[in-house]
Amino acid sequence: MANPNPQEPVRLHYTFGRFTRASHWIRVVLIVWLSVSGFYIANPFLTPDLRFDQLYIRSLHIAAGWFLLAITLIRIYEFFFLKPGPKLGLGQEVSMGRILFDWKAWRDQLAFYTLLRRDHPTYIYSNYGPLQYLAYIVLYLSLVVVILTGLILAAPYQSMGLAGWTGQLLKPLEVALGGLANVRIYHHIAMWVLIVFTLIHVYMVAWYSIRGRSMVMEAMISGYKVDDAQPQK
Amino acid sequence: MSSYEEPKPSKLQPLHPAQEALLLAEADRNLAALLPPQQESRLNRALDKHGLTRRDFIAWATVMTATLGLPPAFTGRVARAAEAATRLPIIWQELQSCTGNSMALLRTANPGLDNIILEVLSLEYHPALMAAAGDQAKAVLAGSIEKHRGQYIAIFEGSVPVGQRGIFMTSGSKGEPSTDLVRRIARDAKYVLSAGTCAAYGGIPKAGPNPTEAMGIKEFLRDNNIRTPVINLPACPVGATNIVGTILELVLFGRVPQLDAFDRPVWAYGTRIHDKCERRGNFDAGEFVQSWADISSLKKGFCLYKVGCKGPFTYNNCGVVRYNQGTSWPIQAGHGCVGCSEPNFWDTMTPFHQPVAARVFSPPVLSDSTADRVGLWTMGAVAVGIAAHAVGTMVRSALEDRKASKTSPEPKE
Ligand code: SF4
Repeated sequence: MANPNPQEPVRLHYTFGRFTRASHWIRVVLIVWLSVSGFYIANPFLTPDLRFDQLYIRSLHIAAGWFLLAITLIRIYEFFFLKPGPKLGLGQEVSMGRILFDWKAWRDQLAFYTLLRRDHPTYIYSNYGPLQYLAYIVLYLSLVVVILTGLILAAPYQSMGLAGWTGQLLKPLEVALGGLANVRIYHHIAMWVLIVFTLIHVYMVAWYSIRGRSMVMEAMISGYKVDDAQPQK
Repeated sequence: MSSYEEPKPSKLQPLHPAQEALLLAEADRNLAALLPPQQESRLNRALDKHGLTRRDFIAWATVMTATLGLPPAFTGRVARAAEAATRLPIIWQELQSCTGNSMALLRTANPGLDNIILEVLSLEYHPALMAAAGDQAKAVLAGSIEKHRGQYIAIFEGSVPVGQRGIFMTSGSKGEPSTDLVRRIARDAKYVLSAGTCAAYGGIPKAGPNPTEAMGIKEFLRDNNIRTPVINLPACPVGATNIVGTILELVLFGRVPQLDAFDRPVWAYGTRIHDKCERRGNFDAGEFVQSWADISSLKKGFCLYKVGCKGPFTYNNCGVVRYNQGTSWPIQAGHGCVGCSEPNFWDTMTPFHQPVAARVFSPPVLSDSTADRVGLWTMGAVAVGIAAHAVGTMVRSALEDRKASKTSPEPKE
């Protein structure tokens, strides 16, 4: 339970490692840049006096997409396989998915969010609340959609490169979606999911940081958040 | 080999010499079977008629070889294949279409060699060209199918309307629905060519709301379990080069050429309009025609993206082979590509004079403006929700703090 008293000293707990924090902020930059440049590519408006702006912006958009792909792949790998110790098998974050089916957790969590409950529910087996877990699944699904459609769209621009190859692999998807024009629209829709997610995410983190006195917002910079001393069931 | 350095308007990789030798041998085998050497071809007669020399013909074959992405060693074979092709029985069936493909191929004042070859192709049956009509024409069709069973190439132009058991298109005095007609012709064909977008994907008749339930030939044959190989040659209309080139490939190698994911020959549909466009430099430079009133940019030949060019979403080789004997093509003439060789272009590529980002209409979900509107409204709703939640939290916390300080000076645990 988070410490409800601002006067009482708190114990800090090192939660987010260097890589996690770096990848978080890199993704922030990437997603902002990708959205901005994506809107621009769809509707270019700068004057041609800026020589080759369309080429540069598109190239940097595609380059940022590759970085996003790399980071997402690492993160998905972590989700499935990362676990403490040298054991093999599914990672601990997968098993935390149990929280989605824990009705008591849903009730506690929603009570906390709707201000019916003061203290923050914590769970022995999961770092995430049920709603949070669901939100991250949606996040990663939309990241996957954005990346796959992006690879298809980038393929003709880098037809001899890696994107050309992945474009060939993803041809069936292109056909299923009905050609490049539709692929582009799905790319656009997935971007909107990411934008809305970001908005909610920022607020929820800030809110939980203050209301739960958990310092999670600071944790993404320093790595330390308030220790949940006595996790309840 | 130096010959590999010649520019080829196809993204095919240069062939390995061993591969090339294999292909050459294969072509020679096929040609030997098809073309008894002594015969004087109908093609030569047609060339004479149009005042063209053998030299022109070989020059054409060279260009065609490069267009097909074949090594120059194939030039002679392509020329022979063109002669052999004139003996290939072809059945051309009109379906639900505007006959624009036939018109584009046939109504030319100075036919190029592609057109001449199409002219002398052995069109056993073509409803718009043949002298016979009515039951007589039907008998010709039945006779050709019978005579060349399993040997002929069926070229379809137009979509198949399957709605209401096919009554939207019937032919002949017995009112044979087009569905039966297509089944009958396609079943015994060696290959099926879908000429034009309507035949390939349903095209304009299939545009929403598709009252006749039109569908492309490929889809229709799959639904009917007819396994004749289908080659899609979409575009509105498809150019003579792409039809003739495909027939030449069929003659040369006796098999279906390499197809892309939409069953289009890769040599013709392997790259996008945008990748072969003469205005691409302007695109990358951000030099756009801003609107149709922007005369100075139009005159400078700037990129047409902002006035609706769909070249970035469209696979075809129009920019290379061009229309009307290679004189021009839409983008050269100053109008953006409308994406006519992509499936459902009437729905996915509109509005034709604005970027796809401006699409507001049909199918409702799949447009940027719908996505943007839904996205912005969601953002707004989220923002309102956030504000309400934040205020609620502040009030609630203040109440809780007051209560806590009243009940006990110590923090409640
Ligand atoms: S005119 Fe069309 S195809 Fe040509 S560069 Fe511009 S957008 Fe691409």
